[in-house]
Amino acid sequence: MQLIGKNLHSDLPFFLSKNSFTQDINLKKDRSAIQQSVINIVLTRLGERPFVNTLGTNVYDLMFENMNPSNPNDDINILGYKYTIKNALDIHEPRIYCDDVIFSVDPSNVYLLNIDVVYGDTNSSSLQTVRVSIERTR
Amino acid sequence: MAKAKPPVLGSLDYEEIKTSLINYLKAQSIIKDYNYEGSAIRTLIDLLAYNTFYYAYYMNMVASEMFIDSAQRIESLISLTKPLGYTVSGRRSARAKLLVTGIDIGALEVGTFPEHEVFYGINEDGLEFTFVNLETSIIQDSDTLIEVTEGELIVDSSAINTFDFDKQKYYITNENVDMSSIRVRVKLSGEEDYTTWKLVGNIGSNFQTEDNIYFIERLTSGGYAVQFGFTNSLGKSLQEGDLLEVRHVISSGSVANGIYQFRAGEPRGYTPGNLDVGTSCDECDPSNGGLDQPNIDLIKFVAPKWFSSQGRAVTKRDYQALILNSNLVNDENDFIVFGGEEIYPPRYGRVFVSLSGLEEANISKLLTILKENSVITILPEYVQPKTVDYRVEIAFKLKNQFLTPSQRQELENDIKQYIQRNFIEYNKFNLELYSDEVSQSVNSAYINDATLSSEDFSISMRVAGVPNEELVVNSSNEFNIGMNQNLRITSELTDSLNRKYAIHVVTTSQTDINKMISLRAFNTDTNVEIPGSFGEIDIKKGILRIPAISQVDYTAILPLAKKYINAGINVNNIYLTKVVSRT
Repeated sequence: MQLIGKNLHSDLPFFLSKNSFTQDINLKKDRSAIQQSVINIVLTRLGERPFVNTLGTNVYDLMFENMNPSNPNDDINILGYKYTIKNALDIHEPRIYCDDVIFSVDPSNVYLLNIDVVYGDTNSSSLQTVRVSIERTR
Repeated sequence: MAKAKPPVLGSLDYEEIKTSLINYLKAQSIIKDYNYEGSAIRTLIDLLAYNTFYYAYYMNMVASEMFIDSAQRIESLISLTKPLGYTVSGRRSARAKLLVTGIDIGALEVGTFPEHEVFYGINEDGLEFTFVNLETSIIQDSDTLIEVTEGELIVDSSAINTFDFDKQKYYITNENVDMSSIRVRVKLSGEEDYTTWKLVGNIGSNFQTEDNIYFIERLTSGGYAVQFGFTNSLGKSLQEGDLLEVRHVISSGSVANGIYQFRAGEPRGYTPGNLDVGTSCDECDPSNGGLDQPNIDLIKFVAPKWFSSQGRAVTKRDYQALILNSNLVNDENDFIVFGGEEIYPPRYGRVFVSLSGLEEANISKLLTILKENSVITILPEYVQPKTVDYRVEIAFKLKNQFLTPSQRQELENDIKQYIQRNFIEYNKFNLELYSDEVSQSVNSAYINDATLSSEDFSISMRVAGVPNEELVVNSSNEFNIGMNQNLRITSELTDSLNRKYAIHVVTTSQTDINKMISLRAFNTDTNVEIPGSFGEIDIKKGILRIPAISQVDYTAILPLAKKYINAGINVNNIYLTKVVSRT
């Protein structure tokens, strides 16, 4: 059973954007709700949420890791981060299974790290990819 | 739309608050992702739950700290007990008794050993602590016992310079000061010498406007304020031109306990002789009594009683509060207070105090405190503590009938150790042991192995009798002695005519159990009754009196009918002598 289009999931959008027709908040539904949740989990620091200290990942630490910009995924330092992200999603997002986490460095900006989370929802075989980008500011 | 569940109010559990919010959201169908940790709505729920939890906890703390019963912070107790006239003491210095040798008595002024001599003690970790004697001592010998107090001695002779004349207060800001070391001396303008002023504990005392007194207030910041009287209030006030000297000791607390190696410091120029500290003596004590902070439970116990008695001891509890407040005992199991009406035969108008492990000098110091605070119709009296042993035997029921003898033995030992660890105590006043409490605890700890009920307990008390001394027992528990039985005595009794005899409890009817009846004695050689009075017993009330007839030591064994020990007026030992299993 596909979740898309069934309004099984609905969530508030992070930026609380207004729907110009209904004058109400635009809700995130189904696929986009899950996608928002995945981004939220990846970008939450471990220990950030009170009383839920296993929620989140340590991806911000990646900014300070040595890695090969041309192919960071083979770097031994990166494997731990990959595992942490998969583990966090397995525990805290039961609607999906995480298939892969792919790291890439933007060739035009070596301080910009892209994390592609490849996942499928538990009721379908098709995979989705969501990109989370983090960038060093200085 | 389903009806929203009402929120759980007053919960202090984060998860409960969160579940309550989620349950509330379940009633609507617009936002559904409240169950997923990564969702935005869940982030909001977590935030709201945290905020609610934070304020619930905060309000709970605020409410708790408003009452003596529930307050946990010492600052709150300082404030709460202030209207009760009770001053919460802070850190307390360790005290020690030293045998000071080499004093040149001839050179001393009227045989007094001066105050504020310095001694050094080294603890087992090699740390050195300073001790001083806070009082001058009258001595007869070149070797004498001196009580010293640990801490840095501060004598502020120019205290008047920092004195707050408007509030009539002198502030001691150091929070580590031992309150009992504070001494105030004042030289009023026009006077020739300093005089020591008296500390007053509460306003119930009969002090007048013109008395040389002061009060001590504990500051919530941790220090102390020495408070003098205002015009037309209790005690004299200080004016410009008066001189004030305040002495106190800054204590190191409990870390200075247990020191037994001392040496004399440099004499301050006015103590003749080569002072030294003797290596050991019978009355010498290692340093003890140092406390880092006051005992919160003790404050909660003493302060209301202090207030209710207003400094005058009338009831048993007033005496308990006075004794605990004297700093001569450590806790409420070190002593017992009982009224004259509680003993047999009753002695009305007396209150008896019994203490364990206190020296004679301290006992008389304590009695002086009690007498000063007693009302005129009550006379406090010290009685030597008497030790009474209790023996407890237990036969529990096995749940598993098929245990091997060694498994059974192991279980018996295990349960015995469990009870000993959790319920058995020795050499203390106020001991209690209730069979139903022990049973409940054993039954829940050994839920698959054993069943224990109050009926499985057998409790007896053993009281030692001394030759030519009367023995009086008031057990507050019915004796389990049947009709027409010999009193169980461990040794053969002998009277002054060298006749061997046994004491017999002769009961003619069931009603004899409920009243005081005479004991009779029978010659164990001839089996003929010996005429005379051999004491009396009230089986129901648990009272026994054996007159001073026996010429030998003996122990009376008195089985108890009720399955509890509520130790009464003696120092008690409880022994768990036997734990066996039955099928």
